[in-house]
Amino acid sequence: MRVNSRRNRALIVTLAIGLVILAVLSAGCEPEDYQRPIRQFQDASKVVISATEALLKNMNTIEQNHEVDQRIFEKRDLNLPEINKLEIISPTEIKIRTDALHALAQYTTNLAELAQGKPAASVGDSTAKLGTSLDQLAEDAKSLQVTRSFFDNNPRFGGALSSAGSAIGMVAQLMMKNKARRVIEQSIVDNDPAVTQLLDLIGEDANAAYQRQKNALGYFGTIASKAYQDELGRNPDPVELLNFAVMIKAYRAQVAQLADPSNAISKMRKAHDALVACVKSHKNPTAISELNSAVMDFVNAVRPLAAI
Amino acid sequence: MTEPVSMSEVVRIIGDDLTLADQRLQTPGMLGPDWQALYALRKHLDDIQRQLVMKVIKQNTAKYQQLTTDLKKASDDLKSISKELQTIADFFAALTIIVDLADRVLKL
Repeated sequence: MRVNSRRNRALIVTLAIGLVILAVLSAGCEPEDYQRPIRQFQDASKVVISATEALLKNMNTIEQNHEVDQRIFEKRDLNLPEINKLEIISPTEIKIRTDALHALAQYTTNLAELAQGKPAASVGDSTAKLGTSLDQLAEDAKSLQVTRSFFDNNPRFGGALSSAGSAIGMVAQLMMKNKARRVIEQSIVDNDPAVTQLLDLIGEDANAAYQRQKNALGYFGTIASKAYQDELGRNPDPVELLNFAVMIKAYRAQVAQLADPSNAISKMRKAHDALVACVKSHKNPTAISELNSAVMDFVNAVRPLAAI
Repeated sequence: MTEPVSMSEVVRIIGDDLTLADQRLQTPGMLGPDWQALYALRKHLDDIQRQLVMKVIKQNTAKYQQLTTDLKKASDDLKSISKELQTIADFFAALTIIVDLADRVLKL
Protein backbone atom coordinates (compact mmCIF):
# COMPACT_ATOMS: atom_id res chain seq x y z
CA MET A 1 0.00 0.00 0.00
CA ARG A 2 2.77 2.38 1.03
CA VAL A 3 4.75 1.30 -2.05
CA ASN A 4 1.79 2.10 -4.32
CA SER A 5 1.35 5.52 -2.78
CA ARG A 6 5.06 6.26 -3.31
CA ARG A 7 4.81 5.12 -6.92
CA ASN A 8 1.77 7.35 -7.47
CA ARG A 9 3.58 10.33 -5.97
CA ALA A 10 6.62 9.66 -8.18
CA LEU A 11 4.33 9.40 -11.22
CA ILE A 12 2.61 12.68 -10.36
CA VAL A 13 5.95 14.46 -9.88
CA THR A 14 7.26 13.09 -13.20
CA LEU A 15 4.08 14.16 -14.97
CA ALA A 16 4.26 17.61 -13.42
CA ILE A 17 7.90 18.05 -14.49
CA GLY A 18 6.97 16.85 -17.99
CA LEU A 19 4.14 19.36 -18.18
CA VAL A 20 6.40 22.19 -17.03
CA ILE A 21 9.04 21.27 -19.67
CA LEU A 22 6.32 21.10 -22.33
CA ALA A 23 4.96 24.49 -21.27
CA VAL A 24 8.43 26.06 -21.35
CA LEU A 25 9.17 24.60 -24.77
CA SER A 26 5.89 25.68 -26.32
CA ALA A 27 6.05 29.11 -24.66
CA GLY A 28 9.27 29.70 -26.66
CA CYS A 29 7.36 30.04 -29.92
CA GLU A 30 3.91 31.51 -29.54
CA PRO A 31 2.34 33.16 -32.60
CA GLU A 32 3.39 36.56 -31.17
CA ASP A 33 7.02 35.47 -31.50
CA TYR A 34 6.66 35.69 -35.26
CA GLN A 35 4.96 39.07 -35.32
CA ARG A 36 8.04 41.18 -34.63
CA PRO A 37 10.33 39.47 -37.19
CA ILE A 38 7.51 39.56 -39.78
CA ARG A 39 6.99 43.29 -39.25
CA GLN A 40 10.74 43.94 -39.38
CA PHE A 41 11.08 41.80 -42.51
CA GLN A 42 8.26 43.73 -44.22
CA ASP A 43 9.74 47.13 -43.31
CA ALA A 44 13.25 46.13 -44.40
CA SER A 45 11.88 44.68 -47.66
CA LYS A 46 10.20 48.00 -48.51
CA VAL A 47 13.52 49.84 -48.08
CA VAL A 48 15.53 47.35 -50.13
CA ILE A 49 12.95 47.39 -52.95
CA SER A 50 12.89 51.17 -53.21
CA ALA A 51 16.72 51.43 -52.99
CA THR A 52 17.11 48.81 -55.75
CA GLU A 53 14.59 50.65 -57.91
CA ALA A 54 16.45 53.97 -57.42
CA LEU A 55 19.80 52.41 -58.27
CA LEU A 56 18.48 50.66 -61.38
CA LYS A 57 16.83 53.89 -62.56
CA ASN A 58 20.16 55.68 -62.18
CA MET A 59 21.95 53.16 -64.43
CA ASN A 60 20.88 55.01 -67.59
CA THR A 61 21.96 58.43 -66.27
CA ILE A 62 25.38 57.02 -65.39
CA GLU A 63 26.06 55.62 -68.83
CA GLN A 64 24.57 58.72 -70.53
CA ASN A 65 26.94 60.90 -68.49
CA HIS A 66 29.80 58.68 -69.58
CA GLU A 67 28.78 59.35 -73.20
CA VAL A 68 28.79 63.11 -72.44
CA ASP A 69 32.37 62.81 -71.12
CA GLN A 70 33.41 60.79 -74.15
CA ARG A 71 32.01 63.36 -76.58
CA ILE A 72 33.66 66.22 -74.69
CA PHE A 73 36.98 64.34 -74.82
CA GLU A 74 36.58 63.77 -78.56
CA LYS A 75 35.43 67.41 -79.04
CA ARG A 76 32.17 66.27 -80.65
CA ASP A 77 28.64 67.78 -80.53
CA LEU A 78 26.82 66.78 -77.39
CA ASN A 79 23.37 66.20 -78.97
CA LEU A 80 21.54 65.61 -75.69
CA PRO A 81 18.33 64.19 -77.28
CA GLU A 82 20.47 61.48 -78.89
CA ILE A 83 22.32 60.82 -75.63
CA ASN A 84 18.98 60.54 -73.79
CA LYS A 85 18.10 57.61 -76.04
CA LEU A 86 20.99 55.58 -74.57
CA GLU A 87 19.26 53.06 -72.37
CA ILE A 88 20.90 50.28 -70.37
CA ILE A 89 17.73 49.19 -68.68
CA SER A 90 14.18 50.15 -69.68
CA PRO A 91 11.41 51.23 -67.29
CA THR A 92 9.65 47.90 -68.00
CA GLU A 93 12.76 45.91 -67.06
CA ILE A 94 13.10 47.89 -63.83
CA LYS A 95 9.42 47.33 -63.03
CA ILE A 96 9.74 43.58 -63.65
CA ARG A 97 12.57 43.39 -61.09
CA THR A 98 10.93 45.53 -58.42
CA ASP A 99 7.54 43.81 -58.83
CA ALA A 100 9.28 40.43 -58.52
CA LEU A 101 10.98 41.59 -55.31
CA HIS A 102 7.59 42.73 -53.96
CA ALA A 103 6.09 39.32 -54.77
CA LEU A 104 8.98 37.42 -53.15
CA ALA A 105 8.80 39.57 -50.01
CA GLN A 106 5.04 38.96 -49.78
CA TYR A 107 5.53 35.21 -50.30
CA THR A 108 7.98 35.17 -47.38
CA THR A 109 5.41 37.03 -45.26
CA ASN A 110 2.74 34.47 -46.19
CA LEU A 111 5.09 31.66 -45.12
CA ALA A 112 5.58 33.45 -41.81
CA GLU A 113 1.82 33.54 -41.29
CA LEU A 114 1.71 29.83 -41.98
CA ALA A 115 4.57 29.23 -39.55
CA GLN A 116 2.78 31.13 -36.81
CA GLY A 117 -0.17 28.77 -37.11
CA LYS A 118 -2.64 30.42 -39.50
CA PRO A 119 -4.73 27.90 -41.46
CA ALA A 120 -3.09 27.19 -44.82
CA ALA A 121 -6.30 27.95 -46.72
CA SER A 122 -6.36 31.50 -45.36
CA VAL A 123 -3.02 32.40 -47.03
CA GLY A 124 -3.59 30.15 -50.07
CA ASP A 125 -5.53 32.72 -52.10
CA SER A 126 -2.98 35.49 -51.64
CA THR A 127 -0.12 33.06 -52.37
CA ALA A 128 -1.84 31.92 -55.57
CA LYS A 129 -2.10 35.56 -56.71
CA LEU A 130 1.66 35.99 -56.15
CA GLY A 131 2.38 32.93 -58.33
CA THR A 132 0.14 34.32 -61.09
CA SER A 133 1.76 37.74 -60.83
CA LEU A 134 5.26 36.21 -61.25
CA ASP A 135 3.99 34.21 -64.24
CA GLN A 136 2.74 37.45 -65.81
CA LEU A 137 6.11 39.14 -65.14
CA ALA A 138 7.79 36.16 -66.81
CA GLU A 139 5.64 36.67 -69.93
CA ASP A 140 6.51 40.39 -69.90
CA ALA A 141 10.23 39.64 -69.61
CA LYS A 142 10.17 37.07 -72.40
CA SER A 143 8.45 39.53 -74.74
CA LEU A 144 11.28 42.08 -74.36
CA GLN A 145 14.40 42.32 -76.55
CA VAL A 146 16.68 39.32 -76.17
CA THR A 147 20.01 41.06 -75.81
CA ARG A 148 19.10 43.63 -73.21
CA SER A 149 19.68 43.80 -69.51
CA PHE A 150 22.58 42.66 -67.32
CA PHE A 151 24.09 39.19 -67.09
CA ASP A 152 20.83 37.42 -67.72
CA ASN A 153 19.17 38.42 -70.94
CA ASN A 154 15.42 38.89 -70.80
CA PRO A 155 14.31 35.39 -71.86
CA ARG A 156 16.64 33.82 -69.28
CA PHE A 157 15.47 36.17 -66.57
CA GLY A 158 11.91 35.43 -67.68
CA GLY A 159 12.67 31.73 -67.28
CA ALA A 160 13.72 32.28 -63.66
CA LEU A 161 10.55 34.30 -63.03
CA SER A 162 8.47 31.56 -64.59
CA SER A 163 10.10 28.86 -62.41
CA ALA A 164 9.49 30.91 -59.26
CA GLY A 165 5.89 31.58 -60.36
CA SER A 166 5.23 27.85 -60.88
CA ALA A 167 6.91 26.97 -57.58
CA ILE A 168 4.77 29.43 -55.61
CA GLY A 169 1.69 28.39 -57.59
CA MET A 170 2.22 24.75 -56.61
CA VAL A 171 2.51 25.63 -52.91
CA ALA A 172 -0.62 27.81 -53.20
CA GLN A 173 -2.66 25.00 -54.74
CA LEU A 174 -1.86 22.69 -51.84
CA MET A 175 -2.79 25.47 -49.40
CA MET A 176 -6.11 26.12 -51.10
CA LYS A 177 -6.95 22.42 -51.26
CA ASN A 178 -6.31 22.33 -47.52
CA LYS A 179 -3.82 19.49 -47.87
CA ALA A 180 -2.12 18.04 -44.80
CA ARG A 181 0.32 20.46 -43.22
CA ARG A 182 3.34 18.21 -43.70
CA VAL A 183 2.54 17.92 -47.44
CA ILE A 184 2.44 21.73 -47.74
CA GLU A 185 5.64 22.10 -45.71
CA GLN A 186 7.46 19.58 -47.90
CA SER A 187 6.26 21.37 -51.02
CA ILE A 188 7.53 24.72 -49.68
CA VAL A 189 10.96 23.20 -49.08
CA ASP A 190 11.05 21.33 -52.41
CA ASN A 191 10.01 24.39 -54.43
CA ASP A 192 12.18 26.90 -52.64
CA PRO A 193 15.31 26.72 -54.89
CA ALA A 194 13.33 28.38 -57.73
CA VAL A 195 12.31 31.19 -55.36
CA THR A 196 15.80 31.81 -53.99
CA GLN A 197 17.35 31.61 -57.47
CA LEU A 198 15.20 34.56 -58.53
CA LEU A 199 16.22 36.52 -55.44
CA ASP A 200 19.89 35.80 -56.25
CA LEU A 201 19.48 37.00 -59.85
CA ILE A 202 17.90 40.28 -58.74
CA GLY A 203 20.75 40.63 -56.23
CA GLU A 204 23.28 40.21 -59.06
CA ASP A 205 21.59 42.94 -61.11
CA ALA A 206 21.60 45.23 -58.07
CA ASN A 207 25.31 44.52 -57.57
CA ALA A 208 26.04 45.46 -61.20
CA ALA A 209 24.07 48.70 -60.86
CA TYR A 210 25.87 49.53 -57.60
CA GLN A 211 29.33 48.79 -59.04
CA ARG A 212 28.70 50.98 -62.09
CA GLN A 213 27.46 53.82 -59.90
CA LYS A 214 30.41 53.48 -57.50
CA ASN A 215 32.93 53.54 -60.37
CA ALA A 216 31.25 56.50 -62.07
CA LEU A 217 31.55 58.38 -58.79
CA GLY A 218 35.21 57.36 -58.43
CA TYR A 219 35.88 58.69 -61.94
CA PHE A 220 34.20 61.99 -61.05
CA GLY A 221 36.35 62.28 -57.90
CA THR A 222 39.52 61.52 -59.87
CA ILE A 223 38.81 64.17 -62.51
CA ALA A 224 37.89 66.76 -59.86
CA SER A 225 41.01 66.17 -57.77
CA LYS A 226 43.23 66.20 -60.89
CA ALA A 227 41.73 69.53 -61.96
CA TYR A 228 42.44 70.93 -58.48
CA GLN A 229 46.03 69.66 -58.55
CA ASP A 230 46.61 71.10 -62.04
CA GLU A 231 45.31 74.48 -60.91
CA LEU A 232 47.64 74.36 -57.90
CA GLY A 233 50.58 73.70 -60.24
CA ARG A 234 49.92 76.94 -62.15
CA ASN A 235 49.50 80.37 -60.64
CA PRO A 236 46.37 79.25 -58.76
CA ASP A 237 43.17 81.25 -59.12
CA PRO A 238 41.47 81.16 -55.68
CA VAL A 239 38.00 81.23 -57.26
CA GLU A 240 38.85 78.22 -59.43
CA LEU A 241 40.27 76.38 -56.43
CA LEU A 242 37.03 77.03 -54.53
CA ASN A 243 34.98 75.77 -57.48
CA PHE A 244 36.98 72.54 -57.54
CA ALA A 245 36.60 72.23 -53.78
CA VAL A 246 32.79 72.43 -54.19
CA MET A 247 32.96 69.62 -56.76
CA ILE A 248 35.14 67.50 -54.49
CA LYS A 249 32.81 68.00 -51.53
CA ALA A 250 29.80 67.04 -53.69
CA TYR A 251 31.67 63.88 -54.72
CA ARG A 252 32.48 63.02 -51.10
CA ALA A 253 28.86 63.53 -50.04
CA GLN A 254 27.65 61.19 -52.79
CA VAL A 255 30.22 58.53 -51.86
CA ALA A 256 29.03 58.67 -48.25
CA GLN A 257 25.43 58.12 -49.34
CA LEU A 258 26.04 55.30 -51.79
CA ALA A 259 25.11 51.88 -50.43
CA ASP A 260 25.06 48.42 -51.95
CA PRO A 261 21.56 46.87 -52.08
CA SER A 262 22.87 43.49 -53.22
CA ASN A 263 24.22 42.83 -49.72
CA ALA A 264 20.75 43.57 -48.28
CA ILE A 265 19.12 41.32 -50.90
CA SER A 266 21.48 38.52 -49.89
CA LYS A 267 20.47 39.01 -46.22
CA MET A 268 16.82 39.07 -47.33
CA ARG A 269 17.43 35.69 -48.91
CA LYS A 270 18.97 34.38 -45.66
CA ALA A 271 15.96 35.62 -43.68
CA HIS A 272 13.72 33.84 -46.20
CA ASP A 273 15.77 30.63 -45.78
CA ALA A 274 15.43 30.90 -41.99
CA LEU A 275 11.68 31.28 -42.33
CA VAL A 276 11.39 28.21 -44.56
CA ALA A 277 13.34 26.32 -41.89
CA CYS A 278 10.85 27.61 -39.30
CA VAL A 279 7.86 26.40 -41.32
CA LYS A 280 9.37 22.93 -41.36
CA SER A 281 10.55 22.97 -37.75
CA HIS A 282 7.11 22.93 -36.10
CA LYS A 283 7.74 25.94 -33.86
CA ASN A 284 11.14 24.81 -32.72
CA PRO A 285 12.62 27.56 -30.47
CA THR A 286 16.07 27.20 -32.11
CA ALA A 287 14.58 27.80 -35.56
CA ILE A 288 12.70 30.88 -34.38
CA SER A 289 15.81 32.20 -32.70
CA GLU A 290 17.72 31.74 -35.98
CA LEU A 291 14.90 33.51 -37.79
CA ASN A 292 15.12 36.47 -35.40
CA SER A 293 18.86 36.67 -35.90
CA ALA A 294 18.59 36.43 -39.75
CA VAL A 295 15.90 39.14 -39.81
CA MET A 296 18.06 41.39 -37.59
CA ASP A 297 20.98 40.89 -40.02
CA PHE A 298 18.64 41.90 -42.84
CA VAL A 299 17.46 44.99 -40.92
CA ASN A 300 21.07 46.02 -40.24
CA ALA A 301 22.07 45.51 -43.90
CA VAL A 302 19.16 47.72 -44.97
CA ARG A 303 20.08 50.63 -42.67
CA PRO A 304 22.65 52.26 -45.01
CA LEU A 305 20.07 52.10 -47.82
CA ALA A 306 17.46 54.04 -45.89
CA ALA A 307 19.40 57.26 -46.62
CA ILE A 308 19.20 56.81 -50.43
CA MET B 1 39.58 23.17 -55.66
CA THR B 2 38.79 26.89 -55.89
CA GLU B 3 35.21 28.14 -55.96
CA PRO B 4 34.00 29.17 -59.44
CA VAL B 5 33.82 32.94 -59.85
CA SER B 6 30.43 34.21 -61.05
CA MET B 7 30.04 37.11 -63.49
CA SER B 8 28.56 39.17 -60.70
CA GLU B 9 31.73 38.50 -58.70
CA VAL B 10 33.90 39.43 -61.72
CA VAL B 11 32.13 42.80 -61.95
CA ARG B 12 32.64 43.33 -58.21
CA ILE B 13 36.35 42.41 -58.43
CA ILE B 14 36.84 44.89 -61.27
CA GLY B 15 34.91 47.49 -59.28
CA ASP B 16 37.28 47.06 -56.33
CA ASP B 17 40.29 47.39 -58.67
CA LEU B 18 38.87 50.57 -60.16
CA THR B 19 38.45 51.98 -56.66
CA LEU B 20 42.11 51.25 -55.93
CA ALA B 21 43.13 52.91 -59.20
CA ASP B 22 41.05 55.98 -58.28
CA GLN B 23 42.73 56.14 -54.88
CA ARG B 24 46.14 56.20 -56.59
CA LEU B 25 45.01 58.77 -59.16
CA GLN B 26 43.58 61.00 -56.45
CA THR B 27 46.82 60.95 -54.44
CA PRO B 28 49.03 63.96 -55.31
CA GLY B 29 52.66 63.52 -56.28
CA MET B 30 52.45 61.33 -59.38
CA LEU B 31 54.35 62.53 -62.44
CA GLY B 32 52.19 63.71 -65.36
CA PRO B 33 53.02 60.86 -67.79
CA ASP B 34 52.51 58.23 -65.03
CA TRP B 35 49.16 59.77 -64.15
CA GLN B 36 48.08 59.80 -67.82
CA ALA B 37 49.13 56.16 -68.32
CA LEU B 38 47.33 54.98 -65.19
CA TYR B 39 44.25 57.03 -66.09
CA ALA B 40 44.17 55.42 -69.56
CA LEU B 41 44.38 51.96 -67.99
CA ARG B 42 41.60 52.84 -65.51
CA LYS B 43 39.41 54.10 -68.34
CA HIS B 44 39.96 50.91 -70.33
CA LEU B 45 39.04 48.73 -67.33
CA ASP B 46 35.93 50.84 -66.76
CA ASP B 47 34.90 50.31 -70.40
CA ILE B 48 35.38 46.55 -69.97
CA GLN B 49 33.25 46.50 -66.83
CA ARG B 50 30.45 48.42 -68.61
CA GLN B 51 30.41 45.84 -71.41
CA LEU B 52 30.67 42.85 -69.05
CA VAL B 53 27.60 44.01 -67.13
CA MET B 54 25.53 43.72 -70.28
CA LYS B 55 27.03 40.59 -71.70
CA VAL B 56 25.92 36.99 -71.33
CA ILE B 57 29.00 34.79 -71.05
CA LYS B 58 29.12 31.01 -70.85
CA GLN B 59 30.48 30.33 -67.40
CA ASN B 60 30.71 26.55 -67.45
CA THR B 61 33.87 26.39 -69.55
CA ALA B 62 37.40 25.60 -68.36
CA LYS B 63 38.68 28.78 -70.03
CA TYR B 64 36.20 30.98 -68.16
CA GLN B 65 37.08 29.34 -64.86
CA GLN B 66 40.82 29.70 -65.46
CA LEU B 67 40.62 33.34 -66.53
CA THR B 68 38.35 34.39 -63.65
CA THR B 69 40.44 32.50 -61.07
CA ASP B 70 43.54 34.29 -62.42
CA LEU B 71 41.66 37.58 -62.32
CA LYS B 72 40.74 37.05 -58.67
CA LYS B 73 44.36 36.29 -57.82
CA ALA B 74 45.66 39.31 -59.77
CA SER B 75 43.16 41.48 -57.93
CA ASP B 76 44.39 40.14 -54.58
CA ASP B 77 47.95 41.03 -55.69
CA LEU B 78 46.82 44.58 -56.50
CA LYS B 79 45.28 44.88 -53.03
CA SER B 80 48.59 43.83 -51.41
CA ILE B 81 50.51 46.30 -53.57
CA SER B 82 48.13 49.08 -52.53
CA LYS B 83 48.36 48.14 -48.87
CA GLU B 84 52.14 48.01 -48.91
CA LEU B 85 52.28 51.35 -50.77
CA GLN B 86 54.56 49.93 -53.43
CA THR B 87 55.76 52.02 -56.37
CA ILE B 88 53.54 53.23 -59.17
CA ALA B 89 55.43 50.91 -61.52
CA ASP B 90 54.38 47.87 -59.43
CA PHE B 91 50.81 49.11 -59.25
CA PHE B 92 50.74 49.77 -62.99
CA ALA B 93 52.14 46.31 -63.79
CA ALA B 94 49.54 44.58 -61.56
CA LEU B 95 46.68 46.61 -63.03
CA THR B 96 47.87 45.82 -66.57
CA ILE B 97 47.55 42.10 -65.82
CA ILE B 98 44.00 42.68 -64.53
CA VAL B 99 43.00 44.68 -67.61
CA ASP B 100 44.40 41.95 -69.86
CA LEU B 101 42.53 39.19 -68.02
CA ALA B 102 39.27 41.18 -67.90
CA ASP B 103 39.61 41.85 -71.63
CA ARG B 104 40.00 38.13 -72.28
CA VAL B 105 36.91 37.35 -70.19
CA LEU B 106 34.98 39.91 -72.26
CA LYS B 107 36.08 38.24 -75.48
CA LEU B 108 34.85 34.78 -74.42
